[in-house]
Amino acid sequence: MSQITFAKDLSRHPLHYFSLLVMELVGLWGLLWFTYDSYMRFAILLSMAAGYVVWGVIHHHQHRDLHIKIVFEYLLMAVLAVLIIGSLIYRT
Amino acid sequence: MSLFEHLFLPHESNNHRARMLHPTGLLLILTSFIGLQLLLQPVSQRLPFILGYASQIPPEEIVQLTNVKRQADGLSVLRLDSQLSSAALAKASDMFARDYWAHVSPIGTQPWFFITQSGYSYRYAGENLARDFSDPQSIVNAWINSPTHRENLLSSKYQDIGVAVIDGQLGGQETTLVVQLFGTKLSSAQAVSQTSSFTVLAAAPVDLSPTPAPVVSPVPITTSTPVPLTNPFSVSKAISIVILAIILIVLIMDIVIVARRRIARWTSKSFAHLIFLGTLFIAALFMLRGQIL
Repeated sequence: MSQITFAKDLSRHPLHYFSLLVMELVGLWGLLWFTYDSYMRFAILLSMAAGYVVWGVIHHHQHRDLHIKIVFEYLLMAVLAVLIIGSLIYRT
Repeated sequence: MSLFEHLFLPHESNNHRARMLHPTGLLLILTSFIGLQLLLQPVSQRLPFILGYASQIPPEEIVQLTNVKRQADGLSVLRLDSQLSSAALAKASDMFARDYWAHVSPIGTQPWFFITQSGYSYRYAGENLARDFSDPQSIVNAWINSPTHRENLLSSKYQDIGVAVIDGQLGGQETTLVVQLFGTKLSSAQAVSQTSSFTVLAAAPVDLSPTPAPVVSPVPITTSTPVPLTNPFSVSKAISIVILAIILIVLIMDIVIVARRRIARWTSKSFAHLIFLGTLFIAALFMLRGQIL
């Protein structure tokens, strides 16, 4: 397990954060592009959430600080996001 | 101040991470959000004048806005045809009766079935669908911005139009369905073209074989009702934006304070959460009501 500060983490893994940013921005573009296609938007939302959890697992694995508690935090955040945005996609 | 710090800021009392960002805090937000969402449906049913569905969509205005778009594109205006309108009404009623949101019904009934049933003999026919919109302009704009719907709307092949707007329940949710049918009569189309073709959105196969008669239950056409203060979508959107904004602010404060104090922690990355939720916050801001097919 390694405990490092935010600045060190960012300077050590800029590519990690850049890839996450690109992935989420592509998802954002998809959500805005398919404005009235609820199935497509929900599929994009699920992909964004899944990609984010996978990113978290890979990032922490490379950090050697992967723990079930951390995976749970990413999963909780992903579920919360899917529920919040999903409620907007399917709410009439 | 200490409770505020404990809940929203990294502090000794919360192991240098806002309590809100702990799994228990996130679980609490999650369950509260689900509870609020579950409350919306009964509230809208019991207090429709506060939280209700108000669709001001006169079919004539859909026709007029469609013709405005066609004229702007140098095309002829479409005539409102009563047979096509009754076909649209039958299609919309069938969607509510069989509880589906598609061009083809669960038992395989094509849109063309309703057109021929109404007595309209067509050479060309097309269908656009919309639901959950609150005004006609948004519907026509949504169709125009979709290449496949735009193709129907701005096709020179069509001469007639029929529109139906009906309120009802689809998938357990109150909604307003809009069915727009285009057509050119078999007789009048001779002058336009000798070729026979049929237009259907998403290129669904044309089935001219006899289809089982749909069970059409009479559904009242939208009438003017008292306008509610707001609708479930707007409330849901406001709740979503507020929750996301609070989490984002807490995350930003977390990142700044932890970086300043050079605190080393063994947790998930706040910056990653910020990127993920930040993009979804932008999406939530621009999320619009309504679906087209």
